[in-house]
Amino acid sequence: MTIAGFLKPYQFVRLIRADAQNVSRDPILIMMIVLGFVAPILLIFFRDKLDIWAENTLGISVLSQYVSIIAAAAPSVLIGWVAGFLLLEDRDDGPLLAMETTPIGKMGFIYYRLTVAFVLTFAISLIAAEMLLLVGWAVRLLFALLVGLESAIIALFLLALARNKVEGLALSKLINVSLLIPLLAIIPSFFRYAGGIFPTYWLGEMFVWSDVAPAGLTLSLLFAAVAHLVWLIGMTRLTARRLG
Amino acid sequence: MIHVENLSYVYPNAKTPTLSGLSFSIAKGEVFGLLGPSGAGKSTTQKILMGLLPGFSGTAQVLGAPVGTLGRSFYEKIGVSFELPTLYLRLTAAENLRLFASLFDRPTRDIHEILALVDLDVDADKRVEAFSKGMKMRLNLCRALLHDPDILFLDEPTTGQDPARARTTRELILRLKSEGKTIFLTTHNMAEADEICDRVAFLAAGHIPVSGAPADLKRQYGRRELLVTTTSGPHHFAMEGLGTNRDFLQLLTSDQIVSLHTQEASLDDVFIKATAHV
Repeated sequence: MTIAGFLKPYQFVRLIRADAQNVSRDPILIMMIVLGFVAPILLIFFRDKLDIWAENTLGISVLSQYVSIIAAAAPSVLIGWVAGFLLLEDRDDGPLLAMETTPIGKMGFIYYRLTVAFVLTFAISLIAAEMLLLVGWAVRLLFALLVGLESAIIALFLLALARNKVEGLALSKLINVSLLIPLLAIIPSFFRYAGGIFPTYWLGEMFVWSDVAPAGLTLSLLFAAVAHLVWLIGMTRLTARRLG
Repeated sequence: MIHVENLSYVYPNAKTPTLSGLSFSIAKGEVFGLLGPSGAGKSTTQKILMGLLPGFSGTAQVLGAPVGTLGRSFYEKIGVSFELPTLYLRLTAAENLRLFASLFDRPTRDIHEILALVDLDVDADKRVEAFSKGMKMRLNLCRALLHDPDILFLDEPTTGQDPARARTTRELILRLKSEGKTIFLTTHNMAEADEICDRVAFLAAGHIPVSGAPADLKRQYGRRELLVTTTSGPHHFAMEGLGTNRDFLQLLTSDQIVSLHTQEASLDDVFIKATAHV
């Protein structure tokens, strides 16, 4: 039996344990993972207060519905960043090169990290979606799956484009902005579809259509799946090329 | 174990080849040293043999099969110690080794036994970020030995180590040779190669102008002469007819001799002469 297609269970457990030890000894990495939980939890407790404040001061009703999408998708950015940053560190400090001279190889190790990021993000996002998003279970499940894929895309984005850890930190600011992209979907203009080149846009589009028309929702899901897969494959290829 | 014939390599966008027509063979249980200055192509050669650099021309066979055809199981049979530390800094030495040991299918050696080989057993539970460069290099070597590989690729294995530790590492390499391991060593440290290599090849500007056993090369490029330093100054004697040379015999009984040195070349001399026209 293998996990992620190439790792035996004891190898997977050993890698997970080493990653847990590695992360637990860096306060910034711990903080990023904790923040992944904090945003959805805060929203669960303060949703009503947020809506009252938004109504009274901004004139926006049920702001929490839109913010919920961001909160439920936040784990992708935070866990994806941690996975990407660890890979950047492995590349800069050398363990990734050492992995290339083991039976699992450099790309095998990267796939392992992406698998962990995906599973962890999927689990957190599913729980967050369950508590925050007022949509059916199938949409929540698909939402969590897509958010999980986003964490893998973000990890690869960092590894492929950052030349070092400092550049990785700079790119993380850009990645944070991607959390706001789903909000483009609520703009009542055809031009909002320009945001469609970013995978996160389609999370917003799914929610716009979820209560309106099943056909629109299906189409949004289809585009969402295509956008996520295109980015995932593209980033995987770019990473493989950059790493040689 | 390793056979290379007419091996050439040009990096993408490079105007000149990094390697040009390299040929050599390494037998089982041999310590082979590829020597040369930084940028000569030593690491490139090693990367090709380890299957990390495709796109070369010529023949490169390791363990009887062309490089790149053995799949990932190839890495069960080779151990690699890189020129720079390649370790998880926040993990301890033992945690690093446990992690890498889990990635091999073949049985791995006891971690503390391996660490003891390089005097790191007392530091097993210390985080690697607290290690000196020399300690990290010794841990690199431990990782290469974990799965008891048949071939070891060691890139500048004594870098950053003090003379006593470097000697321990050299003794370990000789012990591994006596256990039948084949060792491919790349270094610019000629004295080290002289001490531990069965054969060496000099690499300069992508070519190997000279190769052979260190002792043979030193004789071949040296002078058949004996330098006798006495309290009154140096004296040179030809090796031919030395036993009947009256001046030499007189000096031997004079009680003035400070030292006697045959004038074979050092490996540094061999390298400089051999690569002068490359």
